[in-house]
Amino acid sequence: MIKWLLGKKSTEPSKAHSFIIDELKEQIKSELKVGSELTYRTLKKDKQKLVFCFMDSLVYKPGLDEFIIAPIQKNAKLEWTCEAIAQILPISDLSAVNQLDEVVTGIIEGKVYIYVEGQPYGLQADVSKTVERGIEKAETESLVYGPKIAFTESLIGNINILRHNIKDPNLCMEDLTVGTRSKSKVKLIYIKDIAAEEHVNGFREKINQLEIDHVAGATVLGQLIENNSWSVFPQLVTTELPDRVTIALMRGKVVVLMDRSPDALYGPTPFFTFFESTEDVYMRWNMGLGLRFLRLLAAFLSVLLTPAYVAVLTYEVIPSALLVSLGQSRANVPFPPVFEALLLEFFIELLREAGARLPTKVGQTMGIVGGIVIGQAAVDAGFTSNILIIIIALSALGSFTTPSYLMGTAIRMVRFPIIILAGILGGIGIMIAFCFFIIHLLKLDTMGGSYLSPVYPLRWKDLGYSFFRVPTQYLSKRPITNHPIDVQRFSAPKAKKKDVDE
Amino acid sequence: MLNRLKWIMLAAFFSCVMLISGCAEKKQLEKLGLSTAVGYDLEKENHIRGTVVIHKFDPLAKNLTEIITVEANTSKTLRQKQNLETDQKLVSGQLRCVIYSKELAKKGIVQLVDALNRDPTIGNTVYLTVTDGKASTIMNMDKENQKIDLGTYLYNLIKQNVESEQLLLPTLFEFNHRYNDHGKDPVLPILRIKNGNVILSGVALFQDDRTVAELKGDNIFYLKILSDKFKSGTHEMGFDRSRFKKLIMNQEGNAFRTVYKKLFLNIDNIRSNTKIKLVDKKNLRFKVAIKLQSRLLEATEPLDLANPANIEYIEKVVGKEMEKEIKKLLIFFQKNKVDPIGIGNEYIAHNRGKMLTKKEWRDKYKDVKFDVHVQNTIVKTGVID
Amino acid sequence: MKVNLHPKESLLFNAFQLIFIIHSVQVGVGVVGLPKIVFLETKHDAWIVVFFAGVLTSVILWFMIVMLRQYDSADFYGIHVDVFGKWLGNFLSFGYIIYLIACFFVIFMNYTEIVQVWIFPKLPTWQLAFILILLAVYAVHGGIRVIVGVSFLSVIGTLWIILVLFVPLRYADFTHIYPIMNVDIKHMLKGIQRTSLSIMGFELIMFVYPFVKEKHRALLYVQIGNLFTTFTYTLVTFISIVFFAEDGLSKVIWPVISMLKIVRLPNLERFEFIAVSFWMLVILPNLCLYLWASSKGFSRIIKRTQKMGIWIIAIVAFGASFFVKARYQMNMVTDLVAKAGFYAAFCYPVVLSIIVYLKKWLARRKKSHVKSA
Repeated sequence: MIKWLLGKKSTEPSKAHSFIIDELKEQIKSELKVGSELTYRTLKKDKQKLVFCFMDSLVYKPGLDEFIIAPIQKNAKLEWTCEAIAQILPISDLSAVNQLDEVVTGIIEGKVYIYVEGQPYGLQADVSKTVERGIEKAETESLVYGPKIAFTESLIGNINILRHNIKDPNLCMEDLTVGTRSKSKVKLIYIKDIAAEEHVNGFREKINQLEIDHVAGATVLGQLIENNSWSVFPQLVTTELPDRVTIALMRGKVVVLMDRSPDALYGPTPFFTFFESTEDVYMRWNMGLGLRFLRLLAAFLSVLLTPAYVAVLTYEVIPSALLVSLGQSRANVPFPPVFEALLLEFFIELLREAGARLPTKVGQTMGIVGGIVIGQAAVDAGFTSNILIIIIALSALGSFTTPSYLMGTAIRMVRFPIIILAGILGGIGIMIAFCFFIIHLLKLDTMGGSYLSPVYPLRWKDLGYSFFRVPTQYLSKRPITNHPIDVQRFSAPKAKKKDVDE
Repeated sequence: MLNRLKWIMLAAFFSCVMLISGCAEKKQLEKLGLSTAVGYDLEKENHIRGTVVIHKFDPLAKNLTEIITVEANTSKTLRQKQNLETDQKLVSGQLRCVIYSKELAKKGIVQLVDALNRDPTIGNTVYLTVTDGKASTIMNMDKENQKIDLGTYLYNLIKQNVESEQLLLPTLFEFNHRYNDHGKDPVLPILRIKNGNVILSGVALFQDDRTVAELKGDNIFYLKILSDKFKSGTHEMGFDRSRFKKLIMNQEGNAFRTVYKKLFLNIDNIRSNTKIKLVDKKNLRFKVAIKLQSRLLEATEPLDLANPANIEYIEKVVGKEMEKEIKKLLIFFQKNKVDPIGIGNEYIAHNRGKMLTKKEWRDKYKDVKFDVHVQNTIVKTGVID
Repeated sequence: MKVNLHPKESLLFNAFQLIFIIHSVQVGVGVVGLPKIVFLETKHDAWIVVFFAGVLTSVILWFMIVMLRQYDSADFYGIHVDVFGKWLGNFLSFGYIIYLIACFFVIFMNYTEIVQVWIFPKLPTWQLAFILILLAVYAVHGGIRVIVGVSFLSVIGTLWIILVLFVPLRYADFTHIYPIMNVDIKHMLKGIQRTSLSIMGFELIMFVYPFVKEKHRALLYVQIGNLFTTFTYTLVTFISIVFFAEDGLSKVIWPVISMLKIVRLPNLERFEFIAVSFWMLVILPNLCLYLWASSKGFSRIIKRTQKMGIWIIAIVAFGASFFVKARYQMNMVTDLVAKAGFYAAFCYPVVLSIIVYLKKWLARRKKSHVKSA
């Protein structure tokens, strides 16, 4: 996708604005068609005219009154020049500008433009306010264990959280902007002496080269800078958990935060990263290992269970005890197995989608009504077999265990073509799909690295991070998949064997 | 970009083709009649009669099984004719048990077995059996009261007996193996109806694919010992009481032992190990060495087992008795020209050069001599002495 | 055409992966019938013969690597041009490409046949052939890295089948293997020749060699890969011999699949169905590597894009699948390819490497003569 978004940004030559206040007002007004929101406040002293120009909705009024207007009014002796005013304003973010577009951009960002008529330039003071929600518990990636704090829409707030997590002076944050029109702020965050330069450059280049009017959020940004946008599999992780981001940073990944987006985007993230949960780290290693395997198994079964049912029913390969009960429950159903399975999968997807759209309380009721009432009725009416209901429910559950919502959805979507193939060619059909996905996953890449890493190319040491979960003392090196500059996390403990009773 | 579009077009084209061409051959489970048991009888020359037990999935029908009998020349025509008589498509993927009538088995069954082998849908673990009477009578037996279908019943009957080590494994695979080996002959169990139930009554010995003899009772135990490693199975032996006089404990006033004229010992086999070795190539002399570890389960007289010498004595007597029986059995095999133990395989394994054909081995087999050694160890005597 | 091939750094793969490449490209459709084919010639000593065939292969691999080491980073096509000149060299390469395409063809056709016999008797050949070709084309489009990945995952993903092979051992009769070494040299050589269909594939080392990162370690890993194959084949043949009776083994067509019929899992009765389906993963790297090697040759000789070569070869192979209808025809083609494989994979590389060695030796001598003179 990146290819068709490439292109140079047009650079119009900007010009200084008019030095006459009335004209300046007209100029700004014609640039910003915002009606009454644009506010001017004019002060006069000895024929000199001074104007404050700001957007009503973006400015923190008490701040403006107290820290900008009041000092100017009170200082009667003050000479009205830019330098002098700048000296007395108790504002931290103050800059001198005179280009019209800069002024306009500043006003949009919530700054106040202070201009004294006739001066070669004016001052821009930041007293903006943003509407934010408070910090809340993570909703989309809820956890039983570990920190509950989640990112919000405020970039500053998010950076604050991250800075507090990692007090390393090497934690770099580069400023970038995306969106030719929306001009969203983006922070490229990495730890200078860990993250590989190629990944940092990769992110920076891709984001800089984007030429698109508006990027709706970090997730969208992720889609835009991935190499293969046709795949169902996400190639970069988005998360709302600061601790997850912190762990990723320490492992040498590069993080992108975007203003007004509660998600952080990070990479390179191979396939198995999507099945990692921060809980694996917080748990004792053996439980973490078990849970991670459980999750991988669940994802695998979730893809495979329904197709296997279809294949088995279409071509008998199971022992008679199972076969008899399967056959009995199928005997009433008027549809072929493929259709039956697709129907029920569709039904479950409907339930999920409806549950997600509705308010939480109604959503729960939906689940109960859908799951129990309709499910039971469907079996009684001879619409589907009992066993299929169990299988579909299991595979739906399995897909929800994936920590990444995107990956979970991908897994659910992948199921449909496999079911159809299983209906056409049975086990061979499943295998065709399996082979296809193997090739497909091999072809994918995440920020230029192999998507199936560390399984292919095989990196023994990294398996301890992403596939298994081994005790921390064996993880003295950072994962090589991320090509970290500083490999060592801690010096590996010296092997010292103790004898009994020593 | 164009490249990806091309892939998508291809995939779309492909799925269209697949859907239009009507997919592969579909068999939906509930529309199938699963044949679980098949029986073959010799009707007259050129004609066999096939009976098939079908398991159906019909929620409305009371009987889940259906039995169809037709006549034809080959087994596949039988299937076709049977198919005409049922509303569901017959498939043999769940075939559990095949029954041949003895009449047929005496004439040879290899064509019918070959048809089973040729069909990839038929598993390797189908049980082959021979029946005393007609296969159709077994299959039609007590049609009304059957809870589970006959195929599964027979399967469980045989499986249970195989697992408790009363029988040699009578699977299709085992039959093939023995039939195709130059120095080994097949063995199949014999079914019989008794009191309205199907029971196992013995073992049919095959020469190639023809039944030539039968084994009953004790001899099956010995056959099992000779041809297999063997882990369980009980065996009862009768002895003259005089031989155990020394061991019998004096329990005055007890008269119950007069119920038996002889002394019976019941021995439970724990482990056996049989080695058949060619000791003299020229004279075709084989040494059959059997090591048994067993448990004394029951004796009809109270025996004094606290004394190790006594146990040794029992071991020796039992061993001798077994030797005698086994020798008898081996000669019985020789007389009938059957080799279910695989003595031929042992001979071939030690014979370099050109491999013996089946016929050559049969010619040699009648001259074979055996030395039988049984070493019996009683390792446990139960919880009491 | 340049003799040496210098691929981009990012395209190179670790020499370690050669284990998986060699193993996966050797194990394919041949092995399911291997025990029977060798058994027909050498009776119950087939497993020893298979082992010897593996040893022979490792010697040939040594020849190949020695030949490749004479060059900086050349592949088979480059060596041909270097040794025989542009016209003759390219002509020979062209012949070899046809052999590679024939292998490609035989692999998917044989697999289709297995599927038809065991699972879908009525499945039209072209349908499955079409899917398999498409999968291979899709993978080859990803280049050598993806293909190496496919072979790696295929080996990892199918290792468990070897464990399953131990189940038939429970029904084994070990007297079948005695007397050991009861075969004469003539039959043994014939037996070795019959293994060619299963063992061939290792010749592809001559095509992937330029893409190996640490070239000095290639020999070691190639030998490990071949050792693993030899071990697997010997095991499979051994188990088949003790599992089947004398006359039984010569009757079945695919002893390995027939053997798996005995395996029963508690919730899966017909294991061979799974095995046949899973075999697709085993043959996938074969298809990919053969298609890759032949299309590489196409682009090297004719100087067109490799993509074009892939599609042309795929279409040719697909078209050819319509001409084979009956089992005996397929047998004929397979035998033909097996024979061709014996000469192309076993004999020709040895001859070529001797020629190359002599040529280099002469060149060196000349040089030193010039120097001393």
